[in-house]
Amino acid sequence: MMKLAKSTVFPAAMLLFLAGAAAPLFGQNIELSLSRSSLSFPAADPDTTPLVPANDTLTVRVKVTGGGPPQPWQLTLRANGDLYNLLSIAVIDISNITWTASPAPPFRNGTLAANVDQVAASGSRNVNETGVMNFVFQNNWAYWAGSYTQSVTFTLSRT
Amino acid sequence: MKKPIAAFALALALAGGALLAQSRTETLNLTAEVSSRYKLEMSASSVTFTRVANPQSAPLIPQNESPLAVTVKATVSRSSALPQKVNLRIQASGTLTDPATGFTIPVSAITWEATGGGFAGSGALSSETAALLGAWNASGVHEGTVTFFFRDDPNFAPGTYRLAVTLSVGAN
Repeated sequence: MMKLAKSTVFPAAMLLFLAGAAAPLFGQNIELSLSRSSLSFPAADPDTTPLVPANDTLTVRVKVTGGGPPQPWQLTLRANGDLYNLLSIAVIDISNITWTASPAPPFRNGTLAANVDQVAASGSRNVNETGVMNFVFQNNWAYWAGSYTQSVTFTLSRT
Repeated sequence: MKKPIAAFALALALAGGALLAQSRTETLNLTAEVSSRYKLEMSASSVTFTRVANPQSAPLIPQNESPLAVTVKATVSRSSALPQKVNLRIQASGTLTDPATGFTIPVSAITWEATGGGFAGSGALSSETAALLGAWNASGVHEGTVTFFFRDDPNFAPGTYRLAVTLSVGAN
């Protein structure tokens, strides 16, 4: 029994160790960058501007490189709640913010959701792409006046 | 016995390596500005009344046109410090006047009836105070109708009388 342990468990542990180090050996690399850290939607007349564009476009660079077999990747957006106004304790459903993105593929259009990942881009192999995202806010007379904020987490992952 | 275990360990190791998830995150902060604003829309800008021939009493004459459709659009603040209420008010600029003769009719001869959520049911025109025609406690689009009436009187001299009336929407 002791002989078996020495001759098989140790090599297996070594293989596990080497596998853990396999990623850097394959040169796998994931990079994600945004051209800005914030966007704003200016106040506008809901009749003349039912869809309010953000003050700027967002450029997103995704880079997934490395050796080994191709592996799928995806870029997700997760709003960390609804739009929130602290002074009036009022909220606006975050789904009133949508985006269009190009080039497609790998980028795709979508709608923000509170605490739910929304896929904004995906692929099945290495990628080094820069996409442009345009966010718009659905305007409405029924909102309470105020300044609403929320953060969105972009996650680029490879599984 | 050794070889199957070693093969299993190798497969497990490779699978483990393949399943090593890698990810990067970035944060984007969003701000949406919603400002207080008001808009008033009416289906017509004038109404008229036609006197019944030789009135022997004081008949209430409705406007010749169909009721005015009135739409109040408002975005207001509900801040606890400065909560806003939307008000629609109506005020006459003076008295009904026939410019040809100079004869006048008191503005109180004109009354109105309104329908729609938040609209005041009825009232009489005044040139001294702005009467409340509607009030709302929330942002939104509020729709109703207003019909004007003229209380005729045999003592009113024949003529064409005119009057400007102002409807205004705002918050207090």
